[in-house]
Amino acid sequence: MAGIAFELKKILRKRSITSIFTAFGYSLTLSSGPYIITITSLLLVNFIGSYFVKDSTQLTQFQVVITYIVAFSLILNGFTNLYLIRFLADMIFAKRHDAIIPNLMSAIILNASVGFILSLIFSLLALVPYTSYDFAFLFTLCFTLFMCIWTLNTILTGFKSYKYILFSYAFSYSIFLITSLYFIKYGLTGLVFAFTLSNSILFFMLFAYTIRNYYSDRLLSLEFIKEDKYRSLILTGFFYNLGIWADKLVFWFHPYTSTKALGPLSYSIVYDIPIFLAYLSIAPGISAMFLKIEWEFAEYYDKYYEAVRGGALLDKIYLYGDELISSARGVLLDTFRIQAMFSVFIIILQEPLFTLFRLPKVYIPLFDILLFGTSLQVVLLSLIAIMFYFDRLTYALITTFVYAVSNLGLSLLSIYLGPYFYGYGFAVATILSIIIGIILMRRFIHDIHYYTFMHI
Amino acid sequence: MELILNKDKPQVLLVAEGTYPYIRGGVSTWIDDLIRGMEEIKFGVVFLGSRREDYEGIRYKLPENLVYLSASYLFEEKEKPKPHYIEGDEKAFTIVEKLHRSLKDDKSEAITELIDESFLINEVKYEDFLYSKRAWEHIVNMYSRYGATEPFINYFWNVRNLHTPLWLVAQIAKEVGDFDLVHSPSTGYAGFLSALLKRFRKKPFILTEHGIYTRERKIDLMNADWLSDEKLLIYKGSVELSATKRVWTRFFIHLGKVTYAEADIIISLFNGAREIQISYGADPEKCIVIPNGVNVNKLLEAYKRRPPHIPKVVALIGRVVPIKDIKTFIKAMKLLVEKIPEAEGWVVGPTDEDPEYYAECLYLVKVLGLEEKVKFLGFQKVEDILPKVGLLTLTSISEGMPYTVLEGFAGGVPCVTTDVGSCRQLIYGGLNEEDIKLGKAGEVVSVKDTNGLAESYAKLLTDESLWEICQKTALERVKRFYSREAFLENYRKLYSRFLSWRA
Repeated sequence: MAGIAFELKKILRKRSITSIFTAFGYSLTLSSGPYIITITSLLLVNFIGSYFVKDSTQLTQFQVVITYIVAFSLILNGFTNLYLIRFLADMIFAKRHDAIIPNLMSAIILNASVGFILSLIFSLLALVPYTSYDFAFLFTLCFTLFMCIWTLNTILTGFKSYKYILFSYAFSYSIFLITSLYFIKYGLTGLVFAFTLSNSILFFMLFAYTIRNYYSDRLLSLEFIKEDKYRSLILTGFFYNLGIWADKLVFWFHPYTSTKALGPLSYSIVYDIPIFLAYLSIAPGISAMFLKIEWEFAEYYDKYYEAVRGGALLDKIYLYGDELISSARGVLLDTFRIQAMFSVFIIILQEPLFTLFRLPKVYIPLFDILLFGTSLQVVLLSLIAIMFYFDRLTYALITTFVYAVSNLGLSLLSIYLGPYFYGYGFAVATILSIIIGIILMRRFIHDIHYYTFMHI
Repeated sequence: MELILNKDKPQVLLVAEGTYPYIRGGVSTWIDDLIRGMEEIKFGVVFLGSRREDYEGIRYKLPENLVYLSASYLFEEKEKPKPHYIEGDEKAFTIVEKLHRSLKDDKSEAITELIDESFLINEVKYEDFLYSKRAWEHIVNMYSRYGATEPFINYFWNVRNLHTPLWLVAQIAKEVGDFDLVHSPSTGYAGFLSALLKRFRKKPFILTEHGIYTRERKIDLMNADWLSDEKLLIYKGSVELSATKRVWTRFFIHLGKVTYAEADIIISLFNGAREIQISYGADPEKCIVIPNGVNVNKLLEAYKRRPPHIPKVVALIGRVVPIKDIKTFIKAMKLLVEKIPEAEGWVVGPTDEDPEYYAECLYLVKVLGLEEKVKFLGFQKVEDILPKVGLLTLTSISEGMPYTVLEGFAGGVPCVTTDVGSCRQLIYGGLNEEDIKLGKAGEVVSVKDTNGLAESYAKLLTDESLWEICQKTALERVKRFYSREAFLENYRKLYSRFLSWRA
């Protein structure tokens, strides 16, 4: 934790425009790097592939298959990831570093088994009739790998090993790019094979790093399952990921907007491209959030709790408390400001940009509202991150639950209201969840000292 | 509350805080004597301990006329209710505020409300104290008024840990079985419980103070590790004792005031103590002196077994704990051995209460090269020890009315003590004119006066005629004023007065 914050501080000490941009770029790379790498390499394969494959449906099918694997493994992983990171953080706080490996191992095995069984059943029943056993096997393997990667990813992110994560993604996705050029001649199965291969490299890289950094004399432990202090995180993690994917799921499966790609795997021609572009456009917001939380908020947070524990006088504690509160506000406001600025910039330039990338301009109105939605989603994610910092687990549960339910319900409603309303469900659900989260946090923030001392 | 014995309704209910029957020592023996000495009266004991694991079980053979015994633990990490947001009742906390003000200003008007039956049970509930916003605001206000220069976290946890037992005590006051009269041998939480019992049950309340509670608590606190509670682990490392001590002292002085206000009779063991009580706000009308007594006849046997010469042995009978300042005794022995090479020092008393302090004492003995001279004998029967020693001593930094001095007198052993508690009154005489005329039964020196102690030991062990005069005075004084019969008679009269008065 100290490492990254320290480096950012060092860069920012120069207090020049360039230093701010350097810090921003640095945190952009660290925070959004992996997802930009993944998306870019998929886009590249799609682009290069179109020169090799005559039948472009195979490329579409490949995109859909990967998207499904990512989406459903994330949602399924949600049940354990927040819970596990909290458990391991507590172990570290209690100086029980030897508990990390065995519990993490058990969690990986648990996730892998659940992922394996579910994806195996799914691919045997739903994919084999349309493809081959080879494909079904690769699908299952890839899904299982992703279940493990997310767990490792969460843990390493939680322990702030950003640089290594970034390196692993860059390395393994380069392998994907290279191997896909060869395997593309085997069509869909070949591409999925290349993808699975590169992800198994990614898995082993993350896995080796974790094992190397934490020592233990035991291999497995089920201690984390017995912990009942933060059971709510099981549901929070699920709602969190479900909330993020809810609108996409609705558009994939609703008959009005759905297109069949491969057997039961369908996608949405209307929704997928604009939402994909909207997510690409929030990288600055994510990096602003990262910068604000990691660099500024974490420092005020430590300062406040250090003062509390270290025996400061009450007026000092009040002073640091005020600073912490304004820093928490700053996280939300600055994240939103920076993302908003960037979004306005994109909206101004969207016509030439769409022309440049040869994208149909008919997507623009939907893209605009989705861009608004994703920009707000960054704010919502920062809000939830702050809730976790303050250990407001119930608030996080309520907020993520509201998000999952409202995003499902309102996206569905938007489909019935007609194409003009597409995307509004997502945006309104995000606003609603932010408002609810802020109302909850307000009371806590207002009485922060009371909660810190009296609610032990 | 754990009910251990419930044979009958007790007439006299004793509230024992950290003493009988789980810990051996002065006050415990006093309680044991009182119960055994009055077979015609049915007694009950409410034991208040710190944490269950601090005690190893009942250390006394329980007498037949002890018909009721319960045990409760005040500093145990109980399942506290789950933290949740509570606003807190404004009116109730106005009373809390008023109460603190009036205790501070030496007025006792609000005390009546604190120990009113419903106050701690209904108006300011345990949860309100732990989690309410009003409680938080109150603590912050008190801090700004009295503690603003000390680390807030310490102040906060001191206040919280000290007050928590009040609610547990209030709960105990509800649960205790019926009785006719409540008698507390100390103030503190025991005194507070007795005050509540008097109020809740409308029964008379007698208070006997063996030492001045706030003073002894202060010293015990030096070693207190109640903050090492696992839940509070994160707050450790910042505990500054002087500030902690201030909060503790203030708290127990205030609690003492509540107890004084409610007690029908306030008994001290010697005149000096009575004056301190009055200076702390006790009503002089209620304050009387009843000295402790020893079983003179039993110890006369020990006297008869004495050898013809004076054994060159100085014995300190007491627990090996900081309050007894054993280290000063060891240092004094070093000086004595230089003068009288054959002299020995015995420490007679349990060593397990504070193992760390005991280890320090052993180390000091080793450093001073006294391994052959200073011996730790553990707990021993007094009548076995007395004939073998030439002098008894106490080097304590605080005492009430020490039994061992009186027992030593009854066994014909003069005594050298530090000037604490009633020691001066016992050794030089001071109960009345007649007592003073009897003369000296030993020597009194200042606290921590190593030289003075060593010189007095040397003088008495070498000057036989002086020693014999002291012995004569000692025997005479204990027979006349401090016999067990006299002591029991005083309490018997007092009890029967209150028992018949209310019956």
